Amino acid sequence: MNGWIYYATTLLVYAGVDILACLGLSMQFGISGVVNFGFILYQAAGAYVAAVLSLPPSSSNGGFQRYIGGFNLPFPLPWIGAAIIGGLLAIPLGAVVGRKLRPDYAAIAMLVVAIMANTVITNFEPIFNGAAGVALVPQPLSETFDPNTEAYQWAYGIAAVLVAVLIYFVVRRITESPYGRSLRAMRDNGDAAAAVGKHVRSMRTAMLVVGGAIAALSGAVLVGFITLWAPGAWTYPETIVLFAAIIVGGLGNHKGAILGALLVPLAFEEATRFIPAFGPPGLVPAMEWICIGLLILVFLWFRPQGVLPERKRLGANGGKGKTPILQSPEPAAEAS
Amino acid sequence: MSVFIASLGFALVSSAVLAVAGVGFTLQFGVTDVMNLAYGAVLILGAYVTYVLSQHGVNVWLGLVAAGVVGAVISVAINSYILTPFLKRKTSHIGMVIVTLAVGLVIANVLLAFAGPNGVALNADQGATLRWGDIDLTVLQVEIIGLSIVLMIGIALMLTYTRLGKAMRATAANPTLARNCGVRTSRVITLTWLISGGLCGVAGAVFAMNVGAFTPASAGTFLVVVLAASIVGGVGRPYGAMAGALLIGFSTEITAAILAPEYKYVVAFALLFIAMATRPQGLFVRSSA
Amino acid sequence: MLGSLRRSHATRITAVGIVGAALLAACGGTGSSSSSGPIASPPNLSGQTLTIGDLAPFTGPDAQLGPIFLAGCYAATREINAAGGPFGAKFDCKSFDTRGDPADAVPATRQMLASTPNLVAVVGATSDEAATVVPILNASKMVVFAVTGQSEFDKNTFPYFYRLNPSDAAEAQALIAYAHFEQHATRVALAFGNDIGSQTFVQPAIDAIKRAGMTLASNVTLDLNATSFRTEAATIIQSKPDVIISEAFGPAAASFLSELKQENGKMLPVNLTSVDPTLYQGIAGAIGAADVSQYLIGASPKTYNSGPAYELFKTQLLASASQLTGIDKFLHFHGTPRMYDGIILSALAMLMANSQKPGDYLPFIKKIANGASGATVVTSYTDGVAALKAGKTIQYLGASGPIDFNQYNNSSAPYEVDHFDATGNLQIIQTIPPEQVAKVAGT
Repeated sequence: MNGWIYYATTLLVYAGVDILACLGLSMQFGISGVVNFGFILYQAAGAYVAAVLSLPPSSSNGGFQRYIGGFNLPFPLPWIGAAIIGGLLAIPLGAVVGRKLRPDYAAIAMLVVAIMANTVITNFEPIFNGAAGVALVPQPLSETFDPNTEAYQWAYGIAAVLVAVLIYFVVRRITESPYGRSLRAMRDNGDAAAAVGKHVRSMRTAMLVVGGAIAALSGAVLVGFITLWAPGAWTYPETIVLFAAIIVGGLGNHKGAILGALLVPLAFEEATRFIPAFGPPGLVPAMEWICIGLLILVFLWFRPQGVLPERKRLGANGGKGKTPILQSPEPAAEAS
Repeated sequence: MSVFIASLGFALVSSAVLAVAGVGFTLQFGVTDVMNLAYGAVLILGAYVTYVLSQHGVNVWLGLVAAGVVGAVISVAINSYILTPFLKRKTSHIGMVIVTLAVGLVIANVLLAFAGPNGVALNADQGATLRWGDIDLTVLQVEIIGLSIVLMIGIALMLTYTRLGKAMRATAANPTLARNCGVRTSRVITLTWLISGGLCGVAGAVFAMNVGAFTPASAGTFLVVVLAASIVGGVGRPYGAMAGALLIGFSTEITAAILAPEYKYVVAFALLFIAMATRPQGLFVRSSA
Repeated sequence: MLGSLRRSHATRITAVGIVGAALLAACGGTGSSSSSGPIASPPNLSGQTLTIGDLAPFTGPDAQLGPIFLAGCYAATREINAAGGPFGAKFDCKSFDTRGDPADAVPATRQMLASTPNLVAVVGATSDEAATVVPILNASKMVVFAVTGQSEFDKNTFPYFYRLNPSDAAEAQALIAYAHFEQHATRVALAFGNDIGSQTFVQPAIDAIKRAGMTLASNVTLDLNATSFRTEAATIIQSKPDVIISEAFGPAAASFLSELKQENGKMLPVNLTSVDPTLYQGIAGAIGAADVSQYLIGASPKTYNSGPAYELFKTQLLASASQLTGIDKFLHFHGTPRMYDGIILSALAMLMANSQKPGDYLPFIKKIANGASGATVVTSYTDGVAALKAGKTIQYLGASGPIDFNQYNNSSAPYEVDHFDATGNLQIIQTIPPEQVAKVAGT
């Protein structure tokens, strides 16, 4: 068999997953200005939910792992269930941080929730088998088709991309609607949007729900492919990579989010695999993180609008190449 | 021996370390209004400065001073060369958070590239163990508590009685008004970064003295705990940060003693989340804004 | 601050659950079908390079694991190349970083399989990624050698997966047996971390304590992200244990042990699992070399540090210093000689199979390791080549000792108790008698 084909199909799946995640983040951060540093939590939730929906009860497989649920549901119910739970999970958080909290506070609050969740899941084994994670997750339709064939791998990759395309049309539909205009108005000037009767709080919560459901779907697609989900897969630096992606691609623009997903988590991270090792072990990966940090700084300074800037719209404050979410009417140092 | 009583002693030490870090963070945040997520990276850099010097035979207290100097210089540099230019471009609050996050990422990984991922231990001489009933602390721990108290009093006196302290408070309250009243806010902000960066470096040094071992990655968890202490007490309020440090220090150690040690930071994080969600202005200040 | 922020945890090499039964149907049939006997004539591979992949974490919290296997690979390939290499080919080693993240491990594995056309065997597959990478490697018919400890591999059914060491549960039982029979302890405290590897020790240890008729004084779980464990130490001291069973969980171990000593006024006896030499510097600094030597003991799967195979391994390892700085420290990691042995086994199996393809040489691995009666015992690749040329059947006695794969491709060894001498070298105190372990294991 040809290893490159399997590698290519793997990258296709990861492209779909990363695009989904970036679209969810783009909806929250790029379009609506809702800053969620705990974004990876929703991908994790989706992966866990899809895992326990598709797994048999935990007493099977010799009972070597413990988890709640184990419903043995057929595809595509685990993916749908994951998206629903991911969305629902955003509601209580939306109720708390969705209110008009300064965006940097809200971001930190979400970060704290994600770290807290990782610690609890790691330590409290009965939910999702602790640090070892949930393994042997059945792949979709694996009782009918052999997942190790090239055809299955291609089908999975194409399905992942199709899901991403479908979600792209959904989020574009939202963004292009009058509701999307309200979202941008909230992002560009929340007080003014509230003054003209837009319900800012419910819009924030709605965006946490939509973004959360999309992120959860991305987790479901991913876990169906890799068959294991563990706390090591969703440490919070993963969120930083996604933020870097949509900043590079272009904020407030779903095509930019897609481009960012392809450039940063996919192209950049995969390219580093081909760098021959040099220096002490660990030097190359440290450089990789340094590059991600520098990438963010360089783009924020030289091209805050990203590679694909948001289209100028009448009435939006985003004209003249500015990126509204990153700019304030007054310098931050002088806001109180 | 009662573990609960004993844990109170450890809580005092934890609180002392947290207080130094928390007051530095909060002073800087209060005056400059930038939530600086690079703080953890600078802190751990201070810990490594103390460690490297002690490996070369330098006394830990001299190492602590050196860590303070390095922290101050790096912080002023970050502000002058990165943050101020971004602020001049009217970068929003969240934009600044992302900038500091990226800066922290770069610093922490440069440190990782040089220091490697394995843990190092300062192994400062702990001195004799002193006992008061079930509470026992080493001489070094008592010295850390003492240093922390001295620094807290120093900061309080500076804020209350010096011109700089008054200018800082004025800038924190309303920078435009402060400037119109003749306060040279940019100079005040630079001095704030100098002082808070110094505290950050010193906090790294006492952190290194108090823990057995640390790695470049230790910064991350500790940063969130520092955020918890600073924010629970009221963002931008140095006295609140002191109270917050006590609250977080005691709640984590008491959790470890009577509940389950593996959840001790969960309690700190939960307090932080609750504080942000319900009283973003802080638990210890009267609700006004 | 944030990029490197991940759990800092055990230096032990363990694997998460792969349970045979469920996978038997899916994977059992993927064994090589064309390999019932050697291929008629050997291929000519002169001028070609055959690659051993080290698929393990090189970054992240378990970054120290990858180099352990790489060191063994460098030593083995040096030995093999010195003798000419199978069919005139040269061996080399290439590392592939899984970052210790199961989601990163899948593309890493796929990229390895795609970009390494002459890949002939893989070493690594630690706890962090085994559950995702072992099925892929098995389906790709790629031989993988691991030194995992987790009990779920006890009944492994992946034909391409070989485990070169005993399970974690056996290690916990060995330490309890030693506490009971040799240290005459009656109260035992457990202090383990909250990571993947640690918690698998706890339940077997508690059961073994019961069977030995001892008392579980306290059982404390440590958050390995925490930087200080004073309250945890106080809890243990208060429970008045004769012996504390704990784990060498990296930087946190130094914190925990030094705080334990401070709170107690003097050190307490601690039996550590997963001891390796890198631990020494940190803990000797934390509690003093004298106390390390006096109070701490560790258990590890018995490895031979003498004998011709070990001496050759040592020579080849030290000769590879230019390829990996500080390579000499890996002399004392049990994973290094074991991976060395796995690679030598593969190379010899290739010769027997007349093929470098894993699917062809797979069945010969077990034959060479376990040996048939009357087989010539060889302790190096060079000797193996000579014996095979002379038409003899061979058995390889490895640098890490005899290797004996059971039906699940597991090789087990008795446990030994070590302590650090005054200069920080691990010295063997004794081997734990298997019958003592059997008593506390209830087998």
